[in-house]
Amino acid sequence: MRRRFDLLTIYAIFFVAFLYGPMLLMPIFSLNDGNFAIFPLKGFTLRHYGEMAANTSMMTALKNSLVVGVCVSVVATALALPAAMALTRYRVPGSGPILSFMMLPLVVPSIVLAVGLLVVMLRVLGVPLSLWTVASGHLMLAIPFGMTVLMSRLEGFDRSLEEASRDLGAGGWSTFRRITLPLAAPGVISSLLLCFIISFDEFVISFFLTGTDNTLPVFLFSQLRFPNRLPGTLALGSLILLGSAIIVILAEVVRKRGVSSDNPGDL
Amino acid sequence: MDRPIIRLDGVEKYFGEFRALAPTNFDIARGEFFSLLGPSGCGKTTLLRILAGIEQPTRGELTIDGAPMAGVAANRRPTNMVFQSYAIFPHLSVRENIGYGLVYQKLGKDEMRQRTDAALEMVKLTGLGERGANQLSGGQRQRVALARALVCRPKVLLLDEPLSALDKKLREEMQQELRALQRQVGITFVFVTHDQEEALTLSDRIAVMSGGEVLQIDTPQGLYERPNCREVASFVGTMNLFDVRLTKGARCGSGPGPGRCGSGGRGAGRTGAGRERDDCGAAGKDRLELRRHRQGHQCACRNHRRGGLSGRSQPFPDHYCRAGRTGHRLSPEPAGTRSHRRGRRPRGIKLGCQGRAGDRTLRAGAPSVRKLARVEQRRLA
Amino acid sequence: MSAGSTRTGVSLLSPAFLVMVATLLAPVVALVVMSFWTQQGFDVDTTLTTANYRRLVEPGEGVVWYGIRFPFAYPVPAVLMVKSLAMSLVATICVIGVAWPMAYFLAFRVTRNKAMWIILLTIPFWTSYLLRVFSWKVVLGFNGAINTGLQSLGLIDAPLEFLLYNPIAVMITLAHSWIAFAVLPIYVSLEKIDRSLLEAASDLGDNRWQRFRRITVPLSMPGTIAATLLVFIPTVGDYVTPTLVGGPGGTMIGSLIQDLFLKRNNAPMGAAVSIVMMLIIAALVGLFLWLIGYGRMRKRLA
Repeated sequence: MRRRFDLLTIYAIFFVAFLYGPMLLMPIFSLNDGNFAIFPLKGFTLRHYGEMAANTSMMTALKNSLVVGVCVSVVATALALPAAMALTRYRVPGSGPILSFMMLPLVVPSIVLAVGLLVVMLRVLGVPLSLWTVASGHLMLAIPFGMTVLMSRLEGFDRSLEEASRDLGAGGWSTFRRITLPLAAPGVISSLLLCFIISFDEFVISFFLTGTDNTLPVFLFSQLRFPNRLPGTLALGSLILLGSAIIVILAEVVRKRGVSSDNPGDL
Repeated sequence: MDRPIIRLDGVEKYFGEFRALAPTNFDIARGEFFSLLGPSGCGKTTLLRILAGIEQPTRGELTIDGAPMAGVAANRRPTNMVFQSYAIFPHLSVRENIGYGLVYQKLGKDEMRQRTDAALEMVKLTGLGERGANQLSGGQRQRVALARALVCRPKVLLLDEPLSALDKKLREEMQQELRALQRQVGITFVFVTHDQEEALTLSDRIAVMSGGEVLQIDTPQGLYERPNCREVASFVGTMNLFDVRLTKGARCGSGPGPGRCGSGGRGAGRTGAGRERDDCGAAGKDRLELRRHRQGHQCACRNHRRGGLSGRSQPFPDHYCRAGRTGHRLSPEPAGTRSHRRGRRPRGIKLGCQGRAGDRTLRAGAPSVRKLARVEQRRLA
Repeated sequence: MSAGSTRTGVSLLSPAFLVMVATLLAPVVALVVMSFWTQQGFDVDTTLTTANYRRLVEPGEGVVWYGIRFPFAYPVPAVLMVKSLAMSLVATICVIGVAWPMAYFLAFRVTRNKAMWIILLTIPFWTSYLLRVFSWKVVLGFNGAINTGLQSLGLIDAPLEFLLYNPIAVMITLAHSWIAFAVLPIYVSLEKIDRSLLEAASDLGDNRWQRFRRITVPLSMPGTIAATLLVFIPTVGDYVTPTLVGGPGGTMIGSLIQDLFLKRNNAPMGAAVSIVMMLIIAALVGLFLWLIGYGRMRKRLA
């Protein structure tokens, strides 16, 4: 028993090391005072970060990504919340197949989604590629994630709370504002954060659908083929990783806290 | 003034193909403590939710205080509900929970506060107003739910198994309080429960439901004395219930009643549970008493005339069996004894055991009853 | 409840649903339509024809790839398809094999700090896929961490060239990038197992291993299957990994689709390849689920 436990724990530690190892090299090399990502390390420096901040095209890409990410996360959550309510609270005909359909972006290879959208944008609608086309693609990716988060949140609390509110005199909108929204708030916040992350980190769809404006991952990708810009790229990547990690931790903590707080007697 | 507070006129509810509630007609009087009693899935909660406006009836008309309720949403009805889970809003304090519905009553700040305080006092929660829902015990949650509904001063208070989540001691305490509260506020209570004892203790009148139908509506005493069918009889009280069927031409009694009971012949050969109901006329006075004979392995059926005997309070060897038809008095003690000695069932009387209570007493090992059960097994086989 | 609430439900659902129809269904339909068009120089001929599909299976001289003969006039898509399927399959098997013990550890061994462990495994799930792939380039590259690290330790003289730009590198990277997706579904299905079932199995005479094999593994199947599909399906069409670490030898079908659309300007053919790829994946998934009796299993475990 004791031995088994130890073996499995050692395995888990190796697993996490394998998971994080390659990613942790990025911040290490980005702080290394050298122009190549090679061992042995030469010394500590922040100059790569300074160079990066001075790079205007990178700053533009960052701004683009932030704008697209915020818009996508707000719109996706605003669409996903009523949809999640419909699927958890109301009898909607064909809700099973509809849900499966809406979850498809989770499994369909994103290159298919990307080229499909490309065809629609260029051939069917005839709109020029821009950040708008990127955002619409990100919206499609983000809605299923938002719905998953919100549906599990809505299923987590008793339907009779909303019925009680109606019974006590609150109308539909009032019930939503006073009961559903406050109780679903942790889900809404984590949906906002996660949808932002999805959009912010998304590469394939952005790569196909972007016009002249780059998003950050597309910019990053374009930098990868210049070896002499590698440390700068690593610095950028490290910052993205750090930012993403913080947002994910925040989203998870909010979600977990929200879930446990309405189980009475459950600490 | 004597207009009923609630009138159900052919109210019926389907969920898809499933009939949750058969066409139902009855009135509930003003100020009544009215219970809906039945096993789970019998449609009692559906009926309550229709009253609350959470569910809409498929057909039929519901009137509350003279006003038709068709198309009136839950939030516009003069009813309030205590939910089975209590549905205490977890993000609000006790005070905010209680004040939740008052917001819609256009009250001044002072009056709202005053009424909330009064409600807290009424349910003995003064001083706990700032607590969150998660800091309350089960009994306290129940009180909050009660106060939250009553503070809106509904014409009808609907209670969906409000005591089922409490432990036995607390439940009995709350029963007393609930009854006292109802007398104090004078509001009509419609109370859903599956606990017959609870219903019998609390109610002015009880509707016994099963399979989406209301079987009988009567006072507790009336239900107990005059169950109109087998299902009601088996659900109310913990008595032993036997099928008694009279066959044509049988002599079944030496008592002063009619000795011949030929009309029972129509029942011969019927075994379906639903149809057996025909056999059980109201039998308030004519109770069959099944008793172990002093000498042991014998049993007897005897007419028992007085009311007030209950299967619960009676010591073991006596089992009361209620069935038969009004006017038929069955007391074939000598005949029964004889026929058993001969290894035959009492002439003209078919005995069957049913229900948990019956099983339990049989298992307790009364030889006569065991024997009886064997006889019955043969009959049914 | 019924009529009115159905209407409310539909009106709440429809905005999101319509957006998904416009951004998911419409593109797929457009791809299908486009796959029946043909590219003529710089123009697209919109007469419907099966020319693209015929071209994919047109017999010809073909090539031999790893001993398998592809007798097609245009064998590249077929070769890449088979290669992609094989590579994803290997990567998926590795992922499940590596993720399963981790999920088991998480479900049965972790008692304290469970939330922390879960967050630890969730972070890579959400962080940039591009960066996770790119980090392997840093690790495996000619001047990457392994080579320079080993060199500076004096273990090797010259960089190991075989690390990057080959199918192995692609498979390692794929496995690493998708592993976080696999742990969570398996963990959820393991976590749901009622512990009293395990006690009952022991009570009925199973030893630890038998109990694991007869109770734990079968009950974890829904999550394991979900994880398998969640990794296999997207990796077949992956484009980032082969581009960054695959080199010429490591290209996959996703690279071809990208190539046809953006470089060779033959979108109709690209559409046809995409459609065929999705159909093959769907057929394989269906076959897989049928083989393991998924329908029966789901009915029983539902």
